[in-house]
Amino acid sequence: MVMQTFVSFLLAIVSSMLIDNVVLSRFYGICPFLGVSKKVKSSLGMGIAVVFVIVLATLICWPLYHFILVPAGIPFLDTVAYILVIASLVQLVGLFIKKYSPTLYKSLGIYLPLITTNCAVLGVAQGNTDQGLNFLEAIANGLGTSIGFLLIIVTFSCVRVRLESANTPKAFKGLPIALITAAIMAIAMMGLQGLFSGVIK
Amino acid sequence: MDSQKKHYIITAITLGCIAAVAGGIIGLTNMLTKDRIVQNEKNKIKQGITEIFGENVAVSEEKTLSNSYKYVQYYYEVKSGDKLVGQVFRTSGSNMYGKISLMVGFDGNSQVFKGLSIVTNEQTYATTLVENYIVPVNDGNRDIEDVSCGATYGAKLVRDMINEAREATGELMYD
Amino acid sequence: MTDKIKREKGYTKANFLKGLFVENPLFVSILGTCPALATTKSLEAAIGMGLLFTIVLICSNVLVSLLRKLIPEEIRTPSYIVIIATFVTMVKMFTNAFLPELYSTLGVFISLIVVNCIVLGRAEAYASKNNVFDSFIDALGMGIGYTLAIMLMAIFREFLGTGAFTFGKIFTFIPEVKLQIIPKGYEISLFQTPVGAFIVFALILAVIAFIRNRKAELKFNLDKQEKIRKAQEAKLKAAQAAANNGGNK
Repeated sequence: MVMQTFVSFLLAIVSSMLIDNVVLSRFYGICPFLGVSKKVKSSLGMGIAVVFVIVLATLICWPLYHFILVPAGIPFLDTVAYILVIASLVQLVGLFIKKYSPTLYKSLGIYLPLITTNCAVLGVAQGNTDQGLNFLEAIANGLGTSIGFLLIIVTFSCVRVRLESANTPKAFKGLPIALITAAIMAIAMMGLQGLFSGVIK
Repeated sequence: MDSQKKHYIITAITLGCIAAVAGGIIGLTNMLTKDRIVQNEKNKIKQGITEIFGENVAVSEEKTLSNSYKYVQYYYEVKSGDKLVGQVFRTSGSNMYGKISLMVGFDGNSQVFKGLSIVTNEQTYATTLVENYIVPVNDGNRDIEDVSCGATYGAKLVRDMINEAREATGELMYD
Repeated sequence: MTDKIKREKGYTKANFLKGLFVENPLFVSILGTCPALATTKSLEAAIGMGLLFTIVLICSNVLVSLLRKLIPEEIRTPSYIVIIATFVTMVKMFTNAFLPELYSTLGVFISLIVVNCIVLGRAEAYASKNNVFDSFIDALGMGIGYTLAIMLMAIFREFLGTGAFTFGKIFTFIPEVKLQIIPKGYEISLFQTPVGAFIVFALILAVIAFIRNRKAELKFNLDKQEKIRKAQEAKLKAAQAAANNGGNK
């Protein structure tokens, strides 16, 4: 039983990370995906910050909904509550990192305010309760989604660095060719669909 | 120093007021729209039952089942005059591709699968799922077990939901 | 007095039109890309999304502008977020009550208007500094500009992906009409998938960049010609002056 739960936990992480990738198939967090991916280093910083915030937000928002909002009879306040939690979480994480690791703050700090308006964070928190996932599934969804974001934004920035020096048509320079690259990456991700059709019966 | 403290207090109060007013307004909107949302849901269910069983039937209030199921939530009895025509099960499930809720109808006497009607479908490949699986299953052109349809994960979920509803009819038979 | 009104009138028009073209939030500022890619599978869904987005933007801009002197500097962003989230929740509830089909089609993306950079961006950059009327016009222009932009994307995606335009499926109060333009079986369903969304967005941006480059090139050439002409004139003048000087000697 424990083994089965563990396996399904891992499968849920991998499937929300690769098969149903946040950026390429659910379109969460396109803004930072296009905006912060010009350098590998900055995209890595952004990705790690997002993983941090999404996991924390999942750990807070799910209990908040099921143990406070629902018993109090105000589940319709969910969006407002989540966005407040996320905004204050981002501030707190910023303060915390600033105090205990100034070097990390130097590299992560500028991305933190951007995370509040990253759809991925609110999207995961809202999706977890909208789809009626249990706590373990919610954590798997949060982990998988955020690691998927990290993976894609870093890969994408590696490609984009090469694109800078490539000889692209003048009209496609910059964003258009980056979007075409994203489309090709999305095709690659589509190929992974049905990866576990033998495992999940 | 004192004026700074005062400033902080005013700031906190302003934020609190905004949040409280926001909460109040949302609560009010909820009160205004709640009944209508429930009514919408009921209309949709009624429409779904009509799709499966035709016009001239009477539908009971929602009834709970004694066993607990993963997808099946409750059911309705459908009667034509005094005769039991069938049962309709409200099922709801979700996978990584999104949520789907269905009404699954069974013939009252033979417990044979009668038809499906979609309440909500938020699957990523919703159209493919409906065109390649749900419509053919409904028309009897596709076996329920045959789930490879281009939206296989959704189809598997739908199949599981139908099979569970079939299990639930067994419970009603021995009642 | 009349002079001032005239200037104001011109300003209002420019303020409205800037959201449509020069500062189009989607195609020029590249903001609000998530719903633009996710909800453009069908034209009707895009219109619905644009409508809800415009309503939220107008309401939040007007309220932020009304409260701009009341809200202290430190809590501006949190208060704006709460205001926006309130309007989004209200819009969500009304959609669920009166347009349930639209609600289930857009799903979580209605809630995600909260984190749409455009709404918060306009509140911070414009409504917090300008009066109510100007903020309203700004929001109206931006909202319509965004709606038109996502409609353009949806037209390409629905037409190429399904070969037809379907109306009445989401806005159930109009009769259902399906205009099949490309015969069934010849449509490119790739455009209905996420891949198609990226490709359509990329191509539209490329066309805009192309037009802009052309204009810049034309202007550059004109400037060059102007420069050459001026240089020639100067030369002529110098020659004339020299000739005159020579004559004087």
